[in-house]
Amino acid sequence: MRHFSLISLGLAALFCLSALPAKAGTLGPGTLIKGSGQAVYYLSQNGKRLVFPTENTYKTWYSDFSGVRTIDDVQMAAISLGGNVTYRPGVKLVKITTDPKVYAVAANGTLRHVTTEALATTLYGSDWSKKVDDVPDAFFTNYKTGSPIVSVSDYDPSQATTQATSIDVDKATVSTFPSDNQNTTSTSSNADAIDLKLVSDKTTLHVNDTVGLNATAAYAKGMRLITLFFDDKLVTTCNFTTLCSGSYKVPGSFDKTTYVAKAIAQGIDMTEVTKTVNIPVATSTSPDQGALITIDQPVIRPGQFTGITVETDLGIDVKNITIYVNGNAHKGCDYPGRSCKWSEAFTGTVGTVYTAQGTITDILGRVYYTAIKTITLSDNDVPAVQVLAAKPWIYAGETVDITVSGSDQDGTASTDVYDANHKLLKHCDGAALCIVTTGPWTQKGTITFYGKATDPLGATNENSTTVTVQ
Amino acid sequence: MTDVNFMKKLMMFAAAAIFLAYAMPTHALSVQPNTLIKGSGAAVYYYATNGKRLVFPTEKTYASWYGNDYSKVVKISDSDLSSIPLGGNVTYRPGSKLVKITTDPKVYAVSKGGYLRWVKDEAMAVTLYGSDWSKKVDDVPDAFFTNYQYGTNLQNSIEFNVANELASATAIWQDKGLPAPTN
Repeated sequence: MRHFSLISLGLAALFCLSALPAKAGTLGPGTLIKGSGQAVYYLSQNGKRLVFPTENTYKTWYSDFSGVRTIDDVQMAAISLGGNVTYRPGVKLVKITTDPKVYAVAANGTLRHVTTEALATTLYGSDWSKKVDDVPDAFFTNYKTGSPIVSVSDYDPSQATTQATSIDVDKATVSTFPSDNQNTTSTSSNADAIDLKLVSDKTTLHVNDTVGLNATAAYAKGMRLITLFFDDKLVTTCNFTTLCSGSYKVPGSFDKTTYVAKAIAQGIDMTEVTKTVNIPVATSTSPDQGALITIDQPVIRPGQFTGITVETDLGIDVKNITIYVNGNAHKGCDYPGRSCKWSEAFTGTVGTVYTAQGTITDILGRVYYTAIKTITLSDNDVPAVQVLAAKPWIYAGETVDITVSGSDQDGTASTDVYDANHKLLKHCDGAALCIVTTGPWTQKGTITFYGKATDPLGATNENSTTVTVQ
Repeated sequence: MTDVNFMKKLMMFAAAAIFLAYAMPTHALSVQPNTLIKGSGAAVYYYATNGKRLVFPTEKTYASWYGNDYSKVVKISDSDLSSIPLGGNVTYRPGSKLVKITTDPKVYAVSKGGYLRWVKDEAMAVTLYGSDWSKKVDDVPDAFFTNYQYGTNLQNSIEFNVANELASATAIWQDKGLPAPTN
């Protein structure tokens, strides 16, 4: 068989051959070409070579082989294949081997069933049966089925032949009658695009974080491949499925301020969709959700003491906590624990504002930032408020006591206890503790309570606590 | 009767028979879709779940799906066979073989749906199919190249997984995206 001559060139050469360019300018569109083998090809105007699947196909277009040019196999291999030639319209009747129908050939490989013998005779003569070619089943797929010929006016063989001046012209012809394409591919609208979603389990990055990525894709034609990347590095691939998850360990040092996670989804039909998610590196200006800072009295008189508490409710292994005032570290807590407190007197003139922020470093060296809060020096201080629950968690059906207390340089005028919706539960005059029994609480979950203290000058401050119902 | 007249009559009879064959009443087929079928000829077809029969253009195409096993082929009458309209050609089972079109030096992996994925270098071929990959390359005649489509080029061997491709289409109806058989 002729293809063995190519294989004998050496398998390694297989990959090299594709890199050699075709000799441009020597072959024009419409040229018939052959290599060392017997097969003849038609060089199309799109630069590809078309195959004549049978010699009979060739003969409907050309009377002999005198116009065929021989080129070398290397040049031939560089010209891509572009499909098969179909019978020239009007020249022959065709019959597919295992289908009894006789067809006339119309433009661009359209087969039209000749419905009666009388029509065959009228269109092709009394010897029409000598003009029937057999086309192997395997090449039936090169043709489309057009509307049947039911009357003489439906089809004119000589006109069909005249209009097909060349193979390229024939292939460019658009059928004017409805066709029943047996290789039906549904022409769906673009409303049917791949629906791809990508989610990261981290909203900010810390060194040595492991980022979990999850992609889901929905597509009517089915999914072929989903690929996940982090910072353009491959995380994982998932074949023939609509879900893809993977994780990536972030390095020990960052070279960017924002990293990009990417998902590429490929449908069965090779269409592709990409989604990206930006994940910034955690910095002092993008606080982490689980790092909390509270100021006892955010407004104080010059020289007054107030406390800053930094704590975390994340399940992280705390190595140390640092409290910063105006960007300078004023307190470090270097013991295992989730909370660090610092108190100092803040001096200055009325109107001076101090900033306070905390950082929590875990045992892997990841740094978490709290929000930045302010301490303002003013003519009057606002009360410090404490809201305490008798128990941090209760069973469903139990009650829980909430206590609100205030402290202020001018004394506490009143304290109030509120529910999660800021509805007043109890008002207490004076400096005494304000206690209220709340519940019974039947629904499982977390409940928030608010407390407010007011000083004699009308300055107020609020705080809150949560109780978990189990 | 002269020879010519006899031949004429014979041909007219044959021609009339062609049209009559089409007009003969049909009866319910004895085979179900998703079956291999043949008539009196040698060719085997796949009777698909869309009611069409698909052609195996080469014996190796058949072998990529069924190996040497022809035991499941059901023989039906020629008139029954011709009553099932042709519906295109079968392509290689995805993942089963590497293919090479006769006069094109490129080696392709076959992906679900009849997509050819160019294997860009020998290193990728080895990763996908092993050091003896060259023994797993089938030649596909030029004239059947048109049965396939180009898929996106494989940038990285991780984009093509042989086991997953084989699993994606264990039957021809799956590869073609046709409805599942009801039996």
